[in-house]
Amino acid sequence: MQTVSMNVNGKSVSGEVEDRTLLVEFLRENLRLTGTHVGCDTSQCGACVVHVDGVSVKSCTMLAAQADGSDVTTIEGLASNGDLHPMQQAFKDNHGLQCGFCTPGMVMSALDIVNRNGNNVDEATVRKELEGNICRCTGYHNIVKAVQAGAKNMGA
Amino acid sequence: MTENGIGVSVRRKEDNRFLTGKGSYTDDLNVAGQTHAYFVRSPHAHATLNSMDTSAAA
Repeated sequence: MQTVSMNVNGKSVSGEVEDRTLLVEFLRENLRLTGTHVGCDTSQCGACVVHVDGVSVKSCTMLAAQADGSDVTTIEGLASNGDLHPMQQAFKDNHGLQCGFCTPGMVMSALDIVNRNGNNVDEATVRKELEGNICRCTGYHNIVKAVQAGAKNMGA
Repeated sequence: MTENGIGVSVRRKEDNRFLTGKGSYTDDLNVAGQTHAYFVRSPHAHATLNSMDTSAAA
């Protein structure tokens, strides 16, 4: 067991974890932030994507201990005072979700895509960079539309 | 064009909770005294289940 401390969604948190505890387990079970999902446990589906020090990571593939001292942002940390983040709003406006299970990971990956590719990211780039996020409902078309719309609105 | 009806996209009421991480799926539930399911697979391709020893789970 060891103590880890990190800043999650702007709040300082710490907890006792085993060496093998995954970041997603720390978020979901210690902090009860269940917006971050585990879809596959094998780094394929992307439902667990969060940001660690501003970069997207699959939190089922990172140990809690590796995030010690980091700034972590989860889907719960995006909306402010009840207002959806522009990317969340774009997913809503473009019907970019159905069951919603993959959505937190999709939104967190989308933000990383915008951070790296800018507000006018093209469709081919969005499709290529979302390869690590699997959706079983939508067929991706509206997700891609949402990411592009959200990217534009973030620059507005 | 009417606000609702054929040919008009309808805004979903459930989207906000899914988009903010507040959706509740079975794996998110954590209530006192809840039971858990664990699947144990048979090592036999074709057999009859006569009894089950659940002592390890109790």
